[in-house]
Amino acid sequence: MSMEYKICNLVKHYWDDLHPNIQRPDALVFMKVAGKTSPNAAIITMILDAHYRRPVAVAKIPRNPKMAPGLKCEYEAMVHIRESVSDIRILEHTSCRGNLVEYDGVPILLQAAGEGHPMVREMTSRKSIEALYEQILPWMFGFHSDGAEDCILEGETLHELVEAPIARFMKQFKDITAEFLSSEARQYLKELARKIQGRKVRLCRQHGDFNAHNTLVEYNRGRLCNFTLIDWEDYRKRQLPIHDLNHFFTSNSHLLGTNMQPDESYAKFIMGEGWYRNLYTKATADYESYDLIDRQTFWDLTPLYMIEMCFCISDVQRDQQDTAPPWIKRMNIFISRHLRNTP
Amino acid sequence: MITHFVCPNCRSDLELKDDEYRCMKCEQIWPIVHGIPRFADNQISWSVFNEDIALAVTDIAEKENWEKAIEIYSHTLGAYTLNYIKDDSRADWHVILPIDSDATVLDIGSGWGNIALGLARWCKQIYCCDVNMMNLRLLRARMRDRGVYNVCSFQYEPNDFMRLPFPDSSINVVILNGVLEWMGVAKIDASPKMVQIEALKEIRRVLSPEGALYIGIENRYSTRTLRGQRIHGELPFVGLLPRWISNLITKQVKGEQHRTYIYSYWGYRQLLHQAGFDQIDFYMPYPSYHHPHYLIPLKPAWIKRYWLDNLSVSRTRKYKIFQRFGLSRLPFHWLSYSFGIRCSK
Repeated sequence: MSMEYKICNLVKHYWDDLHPNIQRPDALVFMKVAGKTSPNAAIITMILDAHYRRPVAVAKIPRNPKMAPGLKCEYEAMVHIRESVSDIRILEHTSCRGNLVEYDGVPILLQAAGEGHPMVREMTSRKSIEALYEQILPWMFGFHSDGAEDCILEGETLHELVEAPIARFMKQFKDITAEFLSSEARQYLKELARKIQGRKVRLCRQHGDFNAHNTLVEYNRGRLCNFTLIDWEDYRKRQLPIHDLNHFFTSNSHLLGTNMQPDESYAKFIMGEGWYRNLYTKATADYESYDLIDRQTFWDLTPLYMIEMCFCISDVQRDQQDTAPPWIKRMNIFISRHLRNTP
Repeated sequence: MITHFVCPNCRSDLELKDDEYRCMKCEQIWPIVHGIPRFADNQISWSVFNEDIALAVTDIAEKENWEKAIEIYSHTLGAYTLNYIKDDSRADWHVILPIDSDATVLDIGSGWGNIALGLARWCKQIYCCDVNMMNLRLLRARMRDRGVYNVCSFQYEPNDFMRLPFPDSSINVVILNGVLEWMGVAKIDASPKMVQIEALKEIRRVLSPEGALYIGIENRYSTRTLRGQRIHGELPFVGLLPRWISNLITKQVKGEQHRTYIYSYWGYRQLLHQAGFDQIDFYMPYPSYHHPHYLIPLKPAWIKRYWLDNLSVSRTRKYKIFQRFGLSRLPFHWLSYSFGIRCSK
């Protein structure tokens, strides 16, 4: 029996977990869609209602049936979000209904499918990007502030959130930092914990890979009418509120320049003068109004986001050695500018 | 590992004696070379490396490890080739095939085992065969290094009609990924199409009643061939012409016949029907059958339209125009670069 057949049966069997208020379709169509190509990632498939011609579920199958850490992480994230988000308007933009089931000893993650197409396709002009960000960023801020916890960066907390990641980074990427990390950045990281000690932030949930590829958008007569955030395998709770906002701007900035290296597009669009940078600084100011983090602390801690990206969030899924240098180069650029008080 | 080979000539049982298999009926002897059964008199040298380097790579892979051997000579390969031989997602189309923990799979033209590696975790046993002994040795070393022990390999004869060393209906899934087009190259006095049909018939013979054959292959009339891209080293545009003309031109220019036949959507359907397959399902692998990130079924017809309208991430002007004029309603799959074809008896 093929996986196609098994999954269509599973979707029918677990239909109420996916779409409790919609009638179960009689006929389904199965399609394999793009996902990560790394050895431990999942094969992503989409199941569509043959009658209404719309997606009803996404099934993620481990590429290696004996190793599915990504699927377990994503399912735990879905459960946590369903249980912890108090505002239904926030929850409805997530794809967190579903189940982790086992078939023939293989874990399969079933999710309700999001409607729409990847946001990346709409990022074609300044106007379209600004219109998208205008709706998505307030949702992101609301998603972060819902249930956020007050915290003072000192003692154990400071060690766990700041000192330990820096120490791990310097140890794990010893050879790469020796080659790529500037002395200025090295010094900055050394002094960071002392610099921000005693500051107040609110720890909150972070999607972990919030970018244009993981945001589905729906348009009606040329206007954005709905969006859904997908792919929750890098989700983390109780985090510093620096990752998603930085990642959204940084990762998407790579779509603005053609044939540019990641660090070049970062330097040009985020660190260089221009409308995209203005959008970024305005977003950080808006973020401050949600009482999660003050702007100065946000800038001070931003290199920690780059450090996290060097670990590539889910360490087991990507080749760290290839991804670290561009992030270290971005960190050098950011720190150099930040130290001149113009982040 | 228990293998159930039969004599490729007369399909009788084989007896394993020292370093050879002996047919108990026709008494044909099939040697075991480098520990790999060789059901062939000839071989074709095919490798991404030149012959000297391939020999050195094989030597290091067998004595030390596969990864290291590739690493040492990776500078002689481009980034694309390196990714091609290492990419673990190339067999992701297995989700549409009847592969489960009891299944026996045959990967014909297994090369360096990238696809076998992806499938081995999902089935009971996988047989890999190739026309080149060096490829099989490298494949074996790679499997050993990755701790994969349900893979068994053998060499088959390239210059004849295909004969598989398996009993009737003994295999659940057969893979022909980028191989069918090369079968016509066999140095025998038969048209490439005839060689391909005979190979498909032979595959059909070994397939179990509920089994499936998966073919990954280029489309004869794709946007690329229409633009003049050379496929399988043939002259540009030649594959688009009637076969007798393409043969004539290729013979004039290259001194040999055009034998790497690929077909259109309808051509494959006809070919597979001629080989006796009844149930034939077409898929459009995107961007190509080498890297099937998407596998779009061509039936029902609205699916490919859904894919193009909703899942594409293209930001090009060409795409915008395509979408604005509703061109996704056209049967654009006729011009797809390649097809994934699932067929059963």
